[in-house]
Formats: sequence, structure tokens, C-alpha cells
Amino acid sequence: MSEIVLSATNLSKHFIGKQSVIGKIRGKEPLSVPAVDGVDLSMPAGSTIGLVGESGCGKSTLGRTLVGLYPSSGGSLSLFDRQIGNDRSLEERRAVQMIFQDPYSSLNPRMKVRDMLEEILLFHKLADKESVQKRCVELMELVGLPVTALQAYPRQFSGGQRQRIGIARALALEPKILIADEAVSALDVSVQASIVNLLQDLKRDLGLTMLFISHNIAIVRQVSDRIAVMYLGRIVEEGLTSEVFNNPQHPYTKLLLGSVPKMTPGSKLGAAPQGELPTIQARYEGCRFQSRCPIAKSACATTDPALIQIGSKDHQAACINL
Amino acid sequence: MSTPLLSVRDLHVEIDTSRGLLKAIRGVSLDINAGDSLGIVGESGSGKSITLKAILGLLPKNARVTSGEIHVDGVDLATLSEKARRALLSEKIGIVFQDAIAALNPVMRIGVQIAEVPHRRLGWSKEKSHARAIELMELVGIPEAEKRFSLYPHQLSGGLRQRVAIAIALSGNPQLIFCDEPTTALDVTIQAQVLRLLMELRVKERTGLVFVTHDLAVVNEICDEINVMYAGRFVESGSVANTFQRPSHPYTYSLLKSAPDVDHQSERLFSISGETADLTKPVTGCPFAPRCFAATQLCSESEPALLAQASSFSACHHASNFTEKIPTDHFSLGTQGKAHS
Repeated sequence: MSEIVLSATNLSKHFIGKQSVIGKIRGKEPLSVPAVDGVDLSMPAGSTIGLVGESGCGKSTLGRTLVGLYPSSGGSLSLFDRQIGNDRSLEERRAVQMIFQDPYSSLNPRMKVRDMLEEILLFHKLADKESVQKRCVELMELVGLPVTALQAYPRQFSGGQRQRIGIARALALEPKILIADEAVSALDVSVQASIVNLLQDLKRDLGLTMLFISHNIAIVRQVSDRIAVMYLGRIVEEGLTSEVFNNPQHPYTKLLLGSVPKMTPGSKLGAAPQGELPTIQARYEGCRFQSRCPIAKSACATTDPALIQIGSKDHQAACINL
Repeated sequence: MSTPLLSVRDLHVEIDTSRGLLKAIRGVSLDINAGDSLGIVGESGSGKSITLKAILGLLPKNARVTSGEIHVDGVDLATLSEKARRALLSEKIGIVFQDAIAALNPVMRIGVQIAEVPHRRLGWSKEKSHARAIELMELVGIPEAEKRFSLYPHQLSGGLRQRVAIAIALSGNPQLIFCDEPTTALDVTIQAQVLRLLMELRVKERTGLVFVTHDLAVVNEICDEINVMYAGRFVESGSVANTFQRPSHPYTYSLLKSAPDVDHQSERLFSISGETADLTKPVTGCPFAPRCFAATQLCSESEPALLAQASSFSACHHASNFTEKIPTDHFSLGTQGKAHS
């Protein structure tokens, strides 16, 4: 088994709501939303892990906590076998970089591409005044943009090109791990394909490890070696892509995969699953999925299932009925 | 042959923009009968939504229909007064938009919004309209309809809001429903529920569907016919089964190859280089030619018409033989020198 570059153990991120003065006086607990609630995830070197789930399940929060944009509220994170806390060194920050969903709002509209790249390269001392120019040109070539793009502002580019700039910015810091949060969701199908291909090439050529977060299950299948399925702040199934797709175990994974429209001729969507993703609660009794689960038993109301190994394969799921 | 429910002939729409006059739709024709389901697919800016809006007379102020005929149930809309046109359209056609929260009135109870059409337009009594609203809410699968009747849109989840929007679209008993990306903003499990509902309505009520989307897999699941739109025109029309198996336009081929399929994992996705045509400039030749792998001199000189091919209609000079030019090395291109899309 290959080296684990980034691993989370029992990681959680709780958002604490604002408390009114009266609430404080009465000693009421402030509202707490456990967006990520006890996640275990290991990222083997050179792999792409696809993280799927419905909106509100905590995918993006998990991604942002791994990058360090949100401080974690519990559990631990380790990078190359070294524990990292909420206070990361520059080197630790460089190692994990993020590509954002919206190529329009994630770039500073008043900065030329060159200024954007130079700023981070000089700040992190990855280049000096002489070599910075050369490095910027290299980065443009890497993401397939013409060198003239350096002189332009973000508004002068199309969505796909902006996403390439976002990728160049992430790569400028020579990261080991890329977290792509819905990186292609805002793009048209044809452009989406070229960005997906670019990410796969870069990952291979630069030996990156990637967490690919998306609600688009077809794209995730295309790019990932492993899949993690998230539901209400927890990972409920994880394993090799082929294993999870061909042999889904958790009832939620089955529901999710059964709902995806397919390109196969004559395909007709399966029976409509009932119910919707409930809002996240502060505390749960038993399994989080029981309200929508077709195979829920009475034990599910009391036992909180942990991830267990499925057969002898590289595959695990959190359900007591397996 | 009976008169089609909706018939559009050679529709042209222009939009005034800051960059000049944009020819958004350049000759669109279509026919729909009861129980048909037609998908219109294309990239952003291809004119899919504008087509629907032009038919319904919902174009923004800076846009106008410059030529073309629209017949609803055999009646030419151009011969009607504004009032009569709106009455006819709202009787025959219901519409579901992408963004249900923007489509619903935020300060009106959802039940009242659904009951409005039967009450105001069909002239039903308050009680009868109320009962009809409850019936529709049950039809579209809103649980506890009685209880939810007096809720406001913000109190509902995205899936339920879209169901309310569908219930409103159905409230006038339309024969045709226009859907403009109705499931794009929804989660995949909720999307499956809504698509399932639309499919059932089509079978049960013989409602015709016009489904605008960028998602080919959705079209495959719920439509029988497909129109592929590019730069304001249909470039391929035919049955979904034929078109998906044997596309007869390079653009359709490229779209199908660039969309990942959840059932298969391929080595690389096909990507289309370049950008969509700028319709503020006059179109000479095929607008897809600059991005096309099979383009020849002829393609840059004359724009092909939509003509019958073996299995569908295609607007391509090389419809019968473009497949010979499918690049074999496309899938092995490195990151260097890749398309600047």
C-alpha cells in the first residue's frame, strides 16, 4: 500500500451560531451545527479520491477544513505522518491547495494574472525578482494558456480559462495535495471535459494527490481512483471506485447511484426514492440515514454505525445491516 | 394528420446588447403533439431558453421576435390581440423554470398560488379551487398537502418548491409543459423524483413536454425526441435512441463524447476546443466549423441547412462521412498545446 499523504481521524467542524444576550443570561446553549462530524479519511499518495454527497452534507466544509480555511473543532489531521494543528506553518499551507467552484468570484478582478501569481510566489519565497517571470510563464504553459494571458485581467477570460488560472494559482505553490471543490460544476459540458482532462494530466505529471469534491457523480467516477460517500457530516461508504460503483453496500450509496440519469440507450430511471436530505442536527440518535432508509430496523434507532470492512476488498461502509 | 399542439416555423429572435445586435435565434422550427416529449440541449448561450421565452412572449425588453410563425392548436399567434394571445398560451402551456424560489411569489401562501389559476382564469369558486390545489399538491407528491397549503415558499426545501412550481404549471390543465432546466438546481436524488413525476404526468395526463437542459443524460432518461442547438439553430433533430447511437452532426458527437457517463469510466474525455460563435457578428459558413474536427473549406463558406439523413435531421455538410475524420489521437493529447477553452 502506498504512503498516506493526508489523513483525518475523527475530524469534525462545528459551526457555532450567534447567541442572543437573553440566551446568554438564561444559560442557553448556542446553536451548534456539526457540518463535519467524525470523519476518517486517508489519502494515499498519487490517488484521486472523489467525495460525493448531496448539498448540505458537509463535502465543502470537509474540503475547507483539510486545506485549513476552517479550523477544525475536533479530531486530528496528519500530513506526511506529522500532526498538523489549526495553526499551520507556511510549508504546511503550501502542501495543500484548493481549486474553487466559481471561477468568477475566486479571482481578484483588479489584479492581472501576472500580479496574482507574482504575489504568492514572492511571498512564499518560491522565486526571487529575477526568476519570477520565468516561473509565471512556466505556469501558464502548464495549464495550457498562452503567455499573453499574464497581462490580462480575469474578466477578459471565459469560464474555462478562468478555471485554468485558478489551477495555475494553486500549482504556483508546488502543492502535494490538491482539493478541487466543484471545480468543473459551473462549466459547460465541452469545457468541463477539457478541465477534467487537464486535472488528470497534471495529477499524473506532477505526482499530485487529489480530493475531487463534486455532486456530479458521473464526473467523479471518471476522475477518481477511490470514492467517499458523505451523508450528514459523516462518510458512510468508502473504497475503490470500481468496488463502490459495481458493488455499493450502504443503502444511501445505492439510492444515490440509482438516481443518476444515465447515457445508456433505453435507460429508464429507477423507482423514485422518497424523502429528502434532512437538515443537520446538533445530535443524532442512532444512524443518520434511518429516516430515509428502506432497510432500517429498530436497532438502527439506537446504534450509531461505524465504518466496517466489506469482504476482503478495499471497501468499507457504515451500516449495521450489512 | 391532425394539427400539432404547437408549431413553430422559422423563428428569428434578436437581442440588443452592449456589444451590438445579437442574433440569438436564427431560424428554429418545431412541432409538438399531445404526449410528445422533446428535449432541447445545447451549451450556455446557444438559445435554448430564449426559444421557450419567444414562444411564450416572455422575452426581455431588449429582445424581439423579428420573423417566424407560431401556431398554438392551429391558431396563428400573430393574428391575436395581446389579451387573446396570453389567454390562449396560458390555457395550453404551463411552464416550470430552473429557479423555483424566483418563480414563486414569496409573500403568498403556496396553496393560494396554486389555486389562483383555477379561481381567476377558469372562474372556479374559492372552495373548488382550494380543493383542486390540494389535489394538485398530492398529484405532484407533496406530502401532507392540507397542512402545507398555507406555508410560504421559503419554508419549503428546494425539491418541494420545484414541486409547487410544477403544480402551478399544471393548475390550468395545460396540454403542454415547458421545462427550463427544472432540475439543474436540485440534488440528484431529488432530481430523480422530479423527473419521475414529469414522466408519470406525461403518461397519465398525456401532457406534452418540452425539456430544455444542458444535461444529455436527463434527455436520454425522459425524452423521445431531441433537438441539439448550436449558435441559435437546431443542428441535429431526431429520436433520442437514434441520435445517441448514431449522431449525424459532429457537434452532437462531440457533446456525447465529452459527457461522462456514470456507467462507464473512460481513459479521457473528449473535449471541444475553442468557444461558441459570437452571434453579434454575421455568420458566414457553419458556426461550428472553427471547433469542428471534420471542417473543410466548404464549411467556412456556406452554412448547411437542416436536412434529412439516415437516422435524423442534421445541419452538416459532412453528415454522412464526418465519422471518418474523428481524431484518433484526441484521447492521448498531453496538457501541453491543449485547447484554450
